[in-house]
Amino acid sequence: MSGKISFVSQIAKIKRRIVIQAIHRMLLNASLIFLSISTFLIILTKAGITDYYIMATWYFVPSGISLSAALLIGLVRKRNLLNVLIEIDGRLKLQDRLSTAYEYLKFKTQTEFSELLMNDAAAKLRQIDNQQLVPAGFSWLHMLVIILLIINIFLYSSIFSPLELTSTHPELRKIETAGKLLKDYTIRRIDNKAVRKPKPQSVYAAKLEQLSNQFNDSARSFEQHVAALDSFLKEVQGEQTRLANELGGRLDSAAIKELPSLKIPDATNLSHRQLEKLKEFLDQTLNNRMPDAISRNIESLMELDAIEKLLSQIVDDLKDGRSMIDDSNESAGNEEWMSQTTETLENSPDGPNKPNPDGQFSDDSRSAADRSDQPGSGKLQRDGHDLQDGMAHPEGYSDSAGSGPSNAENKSSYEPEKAPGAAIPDKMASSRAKSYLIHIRALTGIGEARLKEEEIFQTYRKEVESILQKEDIPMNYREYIKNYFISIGINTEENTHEFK
Amino acid sequence: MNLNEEVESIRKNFGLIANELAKIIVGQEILIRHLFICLLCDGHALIEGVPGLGKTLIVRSLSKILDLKYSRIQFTPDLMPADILGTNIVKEDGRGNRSFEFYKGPIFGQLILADEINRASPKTQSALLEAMQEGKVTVFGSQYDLEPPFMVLATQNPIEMEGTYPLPEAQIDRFFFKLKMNYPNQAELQKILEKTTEDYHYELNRVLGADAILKMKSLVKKVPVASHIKKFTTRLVLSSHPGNDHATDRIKEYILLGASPRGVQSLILAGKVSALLDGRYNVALEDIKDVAKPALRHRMALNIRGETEGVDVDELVDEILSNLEGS
Repeated sequence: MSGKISFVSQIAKIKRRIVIQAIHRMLLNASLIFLSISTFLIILTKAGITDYYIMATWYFVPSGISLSAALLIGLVRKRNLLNVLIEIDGRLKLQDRLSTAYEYLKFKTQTEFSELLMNDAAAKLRQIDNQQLVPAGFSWLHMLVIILLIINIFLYSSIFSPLELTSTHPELRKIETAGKLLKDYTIRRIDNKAVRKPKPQSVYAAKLEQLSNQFNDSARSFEQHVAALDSFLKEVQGEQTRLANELGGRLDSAAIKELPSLKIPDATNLSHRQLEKLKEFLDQTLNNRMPDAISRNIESLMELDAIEKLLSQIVDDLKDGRSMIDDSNESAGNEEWMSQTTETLENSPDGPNKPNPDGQFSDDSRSAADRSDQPGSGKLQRDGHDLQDGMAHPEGYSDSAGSGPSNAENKSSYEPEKAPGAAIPDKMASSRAKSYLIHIRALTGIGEARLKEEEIFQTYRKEVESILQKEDIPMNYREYIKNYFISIGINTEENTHEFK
Repeated sequence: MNLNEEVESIRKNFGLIANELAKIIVGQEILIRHLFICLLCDGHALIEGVPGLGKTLIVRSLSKILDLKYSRIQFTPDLMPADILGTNIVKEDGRGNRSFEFYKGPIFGQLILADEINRASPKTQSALLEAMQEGKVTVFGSQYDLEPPFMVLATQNPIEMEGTYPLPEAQIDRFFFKLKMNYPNQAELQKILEKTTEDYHYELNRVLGADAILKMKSLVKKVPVASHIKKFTTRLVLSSHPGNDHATDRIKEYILLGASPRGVQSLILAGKVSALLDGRYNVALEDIKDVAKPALRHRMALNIRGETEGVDVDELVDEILSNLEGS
């Protein structure tokens, strides 16, 4: 009887080990299937057949399939204990002691040899280590799992960047919308040019079109799109500066400088609308005999300004949206962004003179308008008379509304930190918002205007009057200048009278 | 004596027998082991070997060691069944009354040496059938029991074909084993020379009696055999049939008739004794493989092609073993 008890306890040990190994094998099979499916899906995703990995829960399906399949395989390939013992007998050269003893134990076959048989088998089992009885060796399946794991890691790390794996649908939608905007802009531009007069496409317009096409490439990541936009924006800004300097030089060298009543504005800071007004003004002043080079320069600047605004807005929205996206306000944010962007396009340079519902001409861009409409920004900006902003002023007056006289050193360039009102901080280093801050004066926080706008007008008016009284302006230009000031808001009878 | 001691006694007795035989027989350990297995399985053996290898000597020596009644029958072409079984003879008593009295033939022994069995006609060979299978002899309607343990050890010369009669299938199937005596190697030959040509004295001692043999025989059938061993054995025997799906190409090509059910019985019983001789209480696959050739080689009849090409049946048995799963 003791032989039987001993044998049963030894068999129980083997059973436990078999169960552990079965679980191990099941997990191994599951890993193998999971990694195979994963590899397959990555390849499919890379080939563009599916965008399976975009979903955050992509791993649930392969995991479920793997575990189910492994469980099924485990059940189908479940080994009988007797067969395991036969295998152990053969492997350890136990001459079928274990299998025979277990069979006689299991089926309770009565024979005089049963006790001896089990005792003998138990004695043999005691001499053998459990590890030897049911060894957990390194099989080719383990090797296969390792190989697949390496392949997966390689595919993840080299083919997909980590950011791509965390890309969300809203981000993709943003990329898509940005691409659409660029395309729409390009198409509209081409259409408008076709209606007006055929002109050769500029380098930057071509680049913009190219960028628009790049947005259709699904292989490029969100970050890559933003980086491309950023780079192009910087390039446009650089070209703007160059052209502005060139324009300034041309204006200086042309006969316009001889106009005594007008100081040459800093072309670098001129917005699209300001450029347009400048062009109109020069046309009127020079009786439509403005030099072609200056005209082309202004047109190029206008075009670049429009491109820059579009790019700035797209970059701002892409970058801001990325950090602010959450599930709750995702859809609302997108709608707002879309409407904003659409509005911007409607006010784009190809349709710059469309009146707003209030009958006035729209500002350069929505963001610019929003910022200039803030309290304390000054009437000129609020009313959209930006040309005046861009013009130089007599010495002793700062560019900041309401700041009063300033140092001569600070006159030429605006320094936000030295401005009386706190400038609205901008997050984007390369966006248009920063450069915009430089030439928007009196950009203070809400309710922080220091002086009333009438006082600012008084200053301007006195300056104009002093110029007029000095008779620096030829008589035949006085009418134009008067009309100009009337057009920018000094159109009351009183003002008109004063001018006279 | 408990069971464990009985099993141990079998090993011990076999060791004693082998040692005694080693006094006069050089080498042939496997043959001696198989002969002992035959004895405990209540079987008969056909020993095949060229003349001069000591076939007769082994049988005679064994009878002395086991203290069994020994009979030798020299099979010749003119040998009649009555010469083996015995016959009724007329006997006259003192008053002049005559009656038939059964005169027992040489078959009425315990260890029978049927020397050169293939020299007698099939009719005479068949006289052994009942004795070998039933342990009885029927003569003129009267049945006579043979004294147990009864064992026939037949010899035959594989070379001489002239004037011989191959054993009929029914006869040959009744032999538990067909044993082959191999030619001794040089060292063994040298020992043979020393023992036979020099002044070598030996005396064979009685090791066992009939009772001890019968007691050991009673133990054999109790040895456990696992089901997978039985399955293996049946597959082994079935694979010897040319019509079986598991038969190899060579079996299909050269075998006329596969092993009979007696072959399976022989394998299992022999496996049991083999296990006991190894001190085990169960039959292992190794035991079956160990006895496969002597148990099957005479039960697999070669066809004409096999005979003419001189196919060795032992090779075919090896082929079956190597092709079987679980081997």
